[in-house]
Amino acid sequence: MALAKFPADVAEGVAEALVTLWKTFVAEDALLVEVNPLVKTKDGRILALDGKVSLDENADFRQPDHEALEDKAAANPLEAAAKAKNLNYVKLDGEVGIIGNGAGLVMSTLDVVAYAGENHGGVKPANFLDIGGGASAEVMANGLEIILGDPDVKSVFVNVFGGITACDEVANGIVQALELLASKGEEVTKPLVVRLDGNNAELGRKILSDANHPLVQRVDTMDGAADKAAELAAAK
Amino acid sequence: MAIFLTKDSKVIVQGMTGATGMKHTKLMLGDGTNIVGGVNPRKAGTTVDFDGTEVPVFGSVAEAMKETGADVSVLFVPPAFAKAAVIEAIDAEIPLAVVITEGIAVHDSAAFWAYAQAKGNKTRIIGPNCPGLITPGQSNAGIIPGDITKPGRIGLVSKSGTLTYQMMYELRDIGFTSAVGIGGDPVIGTTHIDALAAFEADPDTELIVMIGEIGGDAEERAADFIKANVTKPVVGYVAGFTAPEGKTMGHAGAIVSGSSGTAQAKKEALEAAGVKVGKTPTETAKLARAILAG
Repeated sequence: MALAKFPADVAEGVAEALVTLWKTFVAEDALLVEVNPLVKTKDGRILALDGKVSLDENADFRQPDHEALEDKAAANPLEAAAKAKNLNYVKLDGEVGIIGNGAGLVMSTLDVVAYAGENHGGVKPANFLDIGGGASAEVMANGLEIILGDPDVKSVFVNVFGGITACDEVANGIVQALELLASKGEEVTKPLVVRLDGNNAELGRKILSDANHPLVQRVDTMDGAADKAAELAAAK
Repeated sequence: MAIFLTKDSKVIVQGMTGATGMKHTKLMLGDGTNIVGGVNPRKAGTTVDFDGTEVPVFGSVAEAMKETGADVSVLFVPPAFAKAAVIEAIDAEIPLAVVITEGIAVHDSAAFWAYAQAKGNKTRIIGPNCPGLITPGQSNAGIIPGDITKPGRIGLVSKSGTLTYQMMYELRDIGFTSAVGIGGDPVIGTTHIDALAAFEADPDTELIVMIGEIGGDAEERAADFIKANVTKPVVGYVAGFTAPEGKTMGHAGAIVSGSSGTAQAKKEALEAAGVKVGKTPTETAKLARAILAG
C-alpha cells in the first residue's frame, strides 16, 4: 500500500477492498472485477459505489451457480436461440446475414462485407456466426435457420474455407441444410451467396452447381462474393 | 530452415487416444511429422496403429521423452484436464508444448503460463485454442491442413486458424518457411513478438505476414517490436473493424473494450512501424506478393 501511495488513513480500507476483489476474481473465475468509483466517505469509510464483473463461460464446468446469474430474458432473442443450439452468434445491425467457419475468418468476412456495402447503399453485416470447423449439414441448417429468422436480413453470405473439412463435405452440408429446412416447411426465401475455397473447392463448387438451387449463387472469391451479397441486400 | 519445428522434431501427442487426437495424429503422420509417441496413463504400454505406423503410448510426458527423445508435445486434452496436462509437460521440461484445446478457462491458462515462467521458461507454449504450427514439407504440429501450400520464403504468424489457412492459400505458389497459429485467447504462450523475432533470425524467411484481430494490445506491442528489431518486410492484416464494442467475437480474447482493442488502432500502430496493412486478406496477399516481386 505504501508503494501505491495511498494516504495512511485510507490504506487499511483500500487494502481490504483490494484483497476482496482479488479473492472474488480467483474464486469466481472472473475475467474482470472492476470497481469504479471507490470512494472515501466523510466519516472515513471506503466504499465501492459501482462495479462490474465479467465471468468466464469456459469455467462453467466448475462454477455451477453461474448459470443462475444469467439474465436470459435480457438477451437478444436471436442470440438466445443461437446459444440454445450451441452456435457462436452475435446480432449486428446490418442487412447481410453472415455464416462462416472460424472466428477470424468470420470477423474478416464482416469487414469485407461492410467495405463492399459502401458501394451498395451502405448495407452492413447483420450478424457474426461461426459454425466452426466441422460444418455438418445439421450445424449449417441450424445456422441458416437463425439467420433466415432475422427479419433484418435481406441476403445471406456463406463464406467457408475448407481446411481439415473438405469443401465437398461443406457443399453437401449446405445442400442438405436447404432440404432439411424445406422439409420443415421453412423454405428459404432470401438469396444465398456461397463462396467455397480451399481443400476440394472444385468438387464442392460442382456439388452446388449441380444442386442448382434457385436462390443459391456461387462466387469463388471472398471479395467478389461479399460484393454480390451486398448488392443483393441493397436491391431488396 | 524454419522456426520452432523442423523435420528433426520428435513429436508426442497428449490426448492422442481421444477421437480428435486420433484423427489429427493420423493427419500429422501423413504430413511427414515424426510422431514418436502418445501419452495416456490408462493406456501406457499399448500401441496405436495408424495405417501401418505403430505409435507407442506412454504413461507420462517424462517417460515418453526418456524413451524417445521427444522435444515437442501437441495437446488435444479436453479443457477441464488441459491445465494438468500442460503442467506435466512443463515439469518434464519438454522444449515445445502446442496446446490445440479450445475452451480452456482463462485462469487455467494463466496458471500454466505463470508456472512455465516460474520454472525458468524451459518450455515454449504455443496456444491454447490455436491450430498449432506447420513447417511445410518437414513437420506439422497441430491441425493446420498440410496440403494447402509448400515450403517457401514467407513466415506467417496469426491469432486466427482459418485466416492462417486463407493466407497460406492466397500465397500457396510462393510457399512458407513456417506458419504459426498463436490462438485468440486472452492469455496465450507464444506471442506475435516471439514469432517475429524467430522469423527475423531465420535466414530462409524473406517476408513476414502477421495476422491480428480485435482485443488486447498484442498488435500494438508487436508494432513497437517491429520498429526496433525487425529488418525484414512485414505485411499485416487485422480482422474486426466492424466488431461492436463489448461483444466477444468468437475468440474469447476478441473483444473491443471501450475504446481499446480496436482494429483501427492496431492498423495505425502497425502502419506507424512501417508495416503494410491490407484491407482484406486478398489485398494483404497482394501486398506481400508485390514486395517479394521486388
